[in-house]
Amino acid sequence: MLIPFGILSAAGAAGVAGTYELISTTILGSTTSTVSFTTSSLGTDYKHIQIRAVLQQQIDFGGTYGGNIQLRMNGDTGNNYAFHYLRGDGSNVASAAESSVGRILINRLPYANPRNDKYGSLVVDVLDFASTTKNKTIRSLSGVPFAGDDASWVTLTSGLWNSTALMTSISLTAGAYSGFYAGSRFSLYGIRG
Amino acid sequence: MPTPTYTPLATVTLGSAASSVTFSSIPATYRDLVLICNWQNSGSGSASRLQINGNTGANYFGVWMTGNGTSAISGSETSQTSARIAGAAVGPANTYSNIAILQFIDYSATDKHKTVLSRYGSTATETQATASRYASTSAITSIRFFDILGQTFQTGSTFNLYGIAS
Repeated sequence: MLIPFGILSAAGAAGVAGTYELISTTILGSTTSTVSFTTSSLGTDYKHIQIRAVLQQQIDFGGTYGGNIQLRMNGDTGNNYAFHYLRGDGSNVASAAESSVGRILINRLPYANPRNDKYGSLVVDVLDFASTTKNKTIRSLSGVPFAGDDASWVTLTSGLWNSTALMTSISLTAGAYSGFYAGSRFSLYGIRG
Repeated sequence: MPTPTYTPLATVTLGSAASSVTFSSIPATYRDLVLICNWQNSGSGSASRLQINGNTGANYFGVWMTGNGTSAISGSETSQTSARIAGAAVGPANTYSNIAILQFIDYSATDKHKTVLSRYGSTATETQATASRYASTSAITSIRFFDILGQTFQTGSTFNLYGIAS
């Protein structure tokens, strides 16, 4: 479950430190292939981070659906990731896994050409992102029901970055021959612990 | 500067059984909403659903996957008059065995249809993840949580609405 920690103690008042805090928001003004957040300075204040996004992906130039969302940490493109996903498409439930690969894959969200008003949503949790004794784990919930030119699905994903390094950045890339449309929004939240 | 958020907006704790719970006059000053529900149904044959802004038109779409301890299945709906949150759930008597967390992403936007991601679990029946779409670009100002099969939410059931800052 995507339960933030200490929600009942969130102050909500400006200037008063809370348990769950908005760090930054990026709203795309044009089609963008990668959105990144810098997290190198957040470890002294936060235990975990969460990305909340609403987005739409541009269809690739060849008209082929190939672009699942690629999540990476610290710009690492080495084969240091593993993930599982569980996905329902309205008819079937599918599951798959990869290990020793160059990214965590999150199932693509709606493709559209041209851009329209139907977006998909994504929530990603990264636990203990600043730990230097643990490999980094993520979990996500995402989905798109009958939007865009692509199929519908709801997906649960868990992922591993096999590194104990401090997570200094996290990025989401739209995938091969794709981009996130203008209007897509990505927000980073910090959770104190 | 970081903005403290996850602001409690409203809490409903039922003092008597109710057929629905509605949050209204939701301000447009946040980016997302989170609704956390912990409830007990009155009996078998329940199906918890969602309506937005009092809209009872055929404007709801959804896709879900459910595991019931025996099998995993996926289903979908198009052009419904409400969005599915939970399927048939009963729970033992006097036990709040249903819990759901609903994420309303970009609820106040006026250039997008509204997407709801939800996780539901019942100790008696199933665990479920759902993605729903409310086919309207209107900002969400009210949310109604109800049972489409006539069951009621029992005394003590709780529903908490939070706002996530933009």
